[in-house]
Formats: sequence, C-alpha cells, structure tokens
Amino acid sequence: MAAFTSAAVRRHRFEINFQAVFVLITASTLAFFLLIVTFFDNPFDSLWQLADGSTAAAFLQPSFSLPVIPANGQGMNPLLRHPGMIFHPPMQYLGFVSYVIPFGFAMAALITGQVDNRWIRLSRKWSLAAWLFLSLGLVLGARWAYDVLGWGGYWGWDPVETAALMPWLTGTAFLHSIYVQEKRAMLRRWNFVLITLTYLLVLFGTFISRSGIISSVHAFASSTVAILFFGFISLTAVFVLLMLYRHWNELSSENAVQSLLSREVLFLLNNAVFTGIALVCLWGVLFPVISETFTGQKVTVGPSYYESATGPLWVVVLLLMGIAPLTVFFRTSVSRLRTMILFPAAGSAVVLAILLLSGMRSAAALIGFTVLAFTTLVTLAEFWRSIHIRLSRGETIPQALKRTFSRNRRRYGGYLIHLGIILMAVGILGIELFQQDTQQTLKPGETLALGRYIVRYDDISFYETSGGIQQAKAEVTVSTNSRSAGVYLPRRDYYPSWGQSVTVPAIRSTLQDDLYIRLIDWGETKAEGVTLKLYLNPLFNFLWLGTGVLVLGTLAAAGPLFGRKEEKGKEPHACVSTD
Amino acid sequence: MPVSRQTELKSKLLPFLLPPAVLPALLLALLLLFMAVPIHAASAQEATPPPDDAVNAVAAQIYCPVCDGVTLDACETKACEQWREDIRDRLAAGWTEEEILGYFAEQYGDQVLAAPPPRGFSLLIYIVPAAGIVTGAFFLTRSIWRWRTQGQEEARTSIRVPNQEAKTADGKHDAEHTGE
Repeated sequence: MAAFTSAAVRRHRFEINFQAVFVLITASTLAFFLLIVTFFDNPFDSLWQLADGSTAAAFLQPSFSLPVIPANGQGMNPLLRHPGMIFHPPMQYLGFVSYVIPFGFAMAALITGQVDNRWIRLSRKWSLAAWLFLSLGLVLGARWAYDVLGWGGYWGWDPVETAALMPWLTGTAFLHSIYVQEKRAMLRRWNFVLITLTYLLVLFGTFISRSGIISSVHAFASSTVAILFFGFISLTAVFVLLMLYRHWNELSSENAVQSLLSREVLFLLNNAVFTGIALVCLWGVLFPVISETFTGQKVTVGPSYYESATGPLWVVVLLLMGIAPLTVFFRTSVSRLRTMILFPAAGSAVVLAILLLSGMRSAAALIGFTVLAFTTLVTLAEFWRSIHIRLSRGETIPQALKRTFSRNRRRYGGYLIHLGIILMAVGILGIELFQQDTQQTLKPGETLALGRYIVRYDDISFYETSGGIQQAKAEVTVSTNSRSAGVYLPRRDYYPSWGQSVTVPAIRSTLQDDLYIRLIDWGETKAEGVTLKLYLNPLFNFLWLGTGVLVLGTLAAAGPLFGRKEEKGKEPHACVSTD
Repeated sequence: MPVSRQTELKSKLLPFLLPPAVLPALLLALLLLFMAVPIHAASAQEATPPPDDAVNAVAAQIYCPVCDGVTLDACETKACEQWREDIRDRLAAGWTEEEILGYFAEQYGDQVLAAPPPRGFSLLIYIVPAAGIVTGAFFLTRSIWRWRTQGQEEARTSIRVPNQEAKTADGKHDAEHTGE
C-alpha cells in the first residue's frame, strides 16, 4: 500500500493540500492494518513455555519462559499446494490494496473541497487495475477450488468467496459510473458513496477472509480484532457521510436526464443492479450472525439463496450490457435504436428457435442464452461498424483493428471486457444448469457412463512419495462413441503429518465439456474395485477462456497494449498545482 | 318435472351402474393394493440398497455438521461417510427426502440445511432482499422520472431544439465509432 501511494504521488504531481490528505488517508489505512498485525494478531508470534508449564503465543519472550521449538515443521496445508494458490492470494490482495488509492483520491477531494471531476480522472486507471486484480483473484480462486477441493464445482457462495465478490460488484459499478460523471457531470454524490462502499467492502472482505469469524457470534463478540474492524468501518462510514453532507449542494448534478433512452440512464440502472447484487450478498453473509444474535439459531445461507435472489439481477445486468452500447449520452433517437436493434434481436430470436428445436426446455437456460446471444451480437456489431467504416476508407484489416482500439481505447476495451464476461457467463450457465454427476463402485473391467462418456476401471496402485505422501492412484480408460479418449489417473493423496487427504481429480477438458473423475473409495486389492464419482460440466472451459478475453480487454482499455505512446503525454494531469 | 328427468337419466345410465355388492369389494381390493405397494417397495429396496446417486442427491442438500461450508456428498471425513450410510439406510427404510432433511435439521440444527427453512425469524432472509429490490426499484424510477422532467424543462428553456440535439447525439455516436 505504501508502494502504491508513493507511485500515485510520483505519477500524478498533486496540488499540495490534495497530496497531504491523500497520503494521510492511505497511511491511516496502512496504520490500521499495522496496528492489528503488531498488537493483536501478529503472524510472527512464537510459542513460549511459561513458568507454570502452560504455553502462550507472543512476539517477544515473556519473562521466565522458554521457547517452544517444534521438532519438525508440518509444512504447508496440503490443500494449498496448488499453482492457483501461488497467484490467487497476491491478486486478491493487490485488488484490495489498489482500491484504497481511488478511495484516497475521493477523500482528498472531499476534504480539500476539490469536488470537481479531477479525482474521477485520477481514479480511472487505478480502479481499472484494482478491478483487474480482483477479477483475476476471484477466477484463480475458482480454479483452485475446481482442481483441489474435488467437488466438481468452482464457486460455493461461501462467506469468504462472497465477501471477495462484493467489492468486485461495487467496483464494476464504479467503473461505469465514473464514465457518466466524466461525460455528463452527473452521479457526483453517488460516486463518492460507491467508492466508499467499495473501500468498506474491501475492509470487510479482508476481515472475513482472514478471520472466518462470521460463522459464530461468540467468536465474533470475544474478538478484539472484530471490534477494531467494525469500529474502523463505522467511523469511516460516518466520516464520509458527514463530509458528503458538507458538500451536498456543491455536488448536485450539473445536468439532468433528458431522455430515458440515454446512456446515462442505462448506466445508472447498471449501477443500481450491481449495488443491489452486492447488498443481497451482504445480507446473505451477515444473516447467520444476525439470526444467531436474535434467536440463538445458527443457520446456513447456501447457494440456493444467492442463486434465486441474484439470478434475475444477473439477467438484467447482461441485458443492460446489450442495450447500453446502442444508446448515446443525452438522447437516443428511437428510429436509430430500432434499426440498430433489429439485427441482434433477429439473431437472438434465431438462437432461441434453435434452442427450442433442439429440445431445450429449461426456462433459465432459454432466457440466459437468448440474452447472451443478443448482447454478443450487439457487441460484435459495434466492432463491425468501426472496422467497416475504416475498411471502406482503404485501411487494411490489422490497421483497422488496431486503430479501432487506439482511437477509443475505453469504449472498445470495454466491449472486449463485455465479450469476456459473456464467454464466462456461457461457462457458468453450462455448469450451473447442466452439470450431471453419477457415482458407482466398479470392479475391474466394469464401466460407468455419463453423458457422452464411458469410463472403465482398469487398475489401482499405491505409492509412497519421497515426501511421505501416501498415494492411491486409479487407472481408468475414458471413451466416447466407442473411441478411446485416453487413460486418466484420479488419485487420493494422504498426508500423514496433517492426517488429511486431498482428492486429485482427473479432468478431461474440452471446449464442449469437462469430464471430472474423482476417486472416492477403494478396496485393498485391485479386484475389490473402486468407487468413482463422475461429473460432467458442459461448456465450463468458456469460463477460463472468457477470463483471458477479459484480461485483454482490460489491458486494451487501460492502454499499454494497444494504446499509442504519444497519448501518454496527453494524460490529463488533474489536481496539478497551478501556481 | 325435475324428478322425471332424474329417473330418465338413471334409466339411461342403468347398463353402466354396478350391482351394489361390487362397490365395497372393489374398494377393499384397492385398499389392499395400496397397502401392498409400500410393503413390496420396501422389500425390493432391502434386497438392493439405494444406489450412491440416490444417496448423493439427498446428501448434496445437507451441509456437513462438523466442517464449514461443505455439503455432505462432497465431504471426505469419516463422520460424513457414516452420515451418508445413515441416509442410505433411511432411504432403504422408505423415508422420503423431506423426512430425511427434517430429521437432520432436528438432530443437528437448521444450519445443516443449505438454506434456512422459511419460517419464523428466518423468513427475513427471503423478505428483506425482495422488499429491498422493490423499494429500490420504486425510488430509482421516481428519481429518474423527476430528473427527466427537470431535464426536459431545461431542454425546453435552452436554445437548442431537442430534435437537433438528437441529431448531434447520433452524429456523435458515429464519431465515437471512429474516434474522430
């Protein structure tokens, strides 16, 4: 955080008061975390044996105590030994930390009274970077869960996951709302609220993921760290509201809405829906604590709540993603909208017809894929229009592509991100709506069928690795339509030092579907057979594919990949000292 | 008049009406059949225990009472293995899915269910988001409406004619495509 603060100060050359407050805000956030890790939850605490024979954890050696030195470290928790875990925490962390910078800008603007659009322009790239890190953090976490946790899924609406998703949601809303403020000088109060909300959700997310305390009220009430966190969160919220109140009239919109069919109204709806999803998630995360406090009854708020409560809102998000690019700021003429919507609407109707003819009857799938088709066609048509105009001027295809991005990075970078999100949505719909699973105990030579796959159990072997890990490895042959698709080795690793075993699934991954083979149980000999659980996850690879497109889109929107160098000099140096 | 019509109807239906003794016999036979079905089903299930898929279908709806955030079908602990066998036994004994879920909730508390049962205080989990979304939508619509009225007044008083503005906006759209 210190590094980011110093980078921001070096890069932007602020006016002196602005800089002072900005540094104060980021430094107090840093101080808060340092306070916690130094005095309340020091990760470097050692164990000491006290004079009365009991052991205690402390950083410095208590008097009359002896250090407790374990004979041998246990090593890392086996569940965390996965490449996803090397990158997931730093990405999540970078995402969280980067959001402190735009919040610092917002506070500096509020406190120094420079509440015009300058803080928004400063925040843009920082919030884009934060958003990218957070997106990668979430997806890498999902990949880890898919590969390691062995339940054939990637997302379980666990409080920790949900807490990491919430700042992403408000951050996504913020990326859109700052655009409206820049173009139309509207939503000026809302942007302060939104970045504060994101910052507070980052604090909340850090707290939840590091403590896991939300699962029990008693642990929560007895924890000093919890009280500190909630004290800090409440103080910040009250402070921001007071500052907003002070500048309330100054912050009124310079413009009003002229037409309901304008981009600003659709962006406003987008903001409302994203914030709505975040609040629904927050309620789901907090409800077990609330319930236990008032009734003493512990409850679990699982996927069914989140899916039914946020599902329709996600559809609205995807639909808005399809309509908003067709509109312009101020006012969109109806006749123009009609001509532009014709082709995507017809195209998505064709998709719907094909789905119905192919026998699909799930309402969620029909709505989901039709909306996705519509949004895809709108987005592709936007690209086509720009490229078409350029080609007609005699540019070559690569030239046209390159200039499309470089002349309007934000717009086309944004569209590329939208395409990434669409691909990810295809993967999510595939696994959420069409996942199948089956489980059976097989003797050698017996087969188990799922979807287009047939899995035959051939052999099992037992090893002990040099690291002392005991492995049970089954050998199965997978075939589709009587053609062999190769031999797969699902296994279970047992870590004696932890007394814990880890399922290592074998995954046959294609664009069409993932076959996920999990070894559940086995006998002592090959002949006794093994129990296998198979999952079929249709279209799931689109999630990872979409993430790649999303990263490209974000880089394109931010500049370095497709942007022209001379544009760097044109960077608006907001809040630059004028004297 | 109505009486004569009734007798007329009866005479028409006569060939279809059954002799009085047949009806109780038929009812008895039906009753026996219904009684026989569960007995038969249970004995069939005892012969072949419910398959893993049936057990998992129920287990997937129950959270492991000892680990955090893991459903019973995916949990690898010994305890969960026993709970899965418990589910299998209950299925074999003819329990329905709801009965098994209810039994687990009673034994280990509502937190083993994937979502709180919609009664009492837990109703709030469902009511609050729904009410929030409706209220939010109401206020949003109202403020956009107000904003628009204000905007239309401004547009009327300004020099630019709305039609012209629409044109400039469309022109802008084209320009945005090429960035020029």
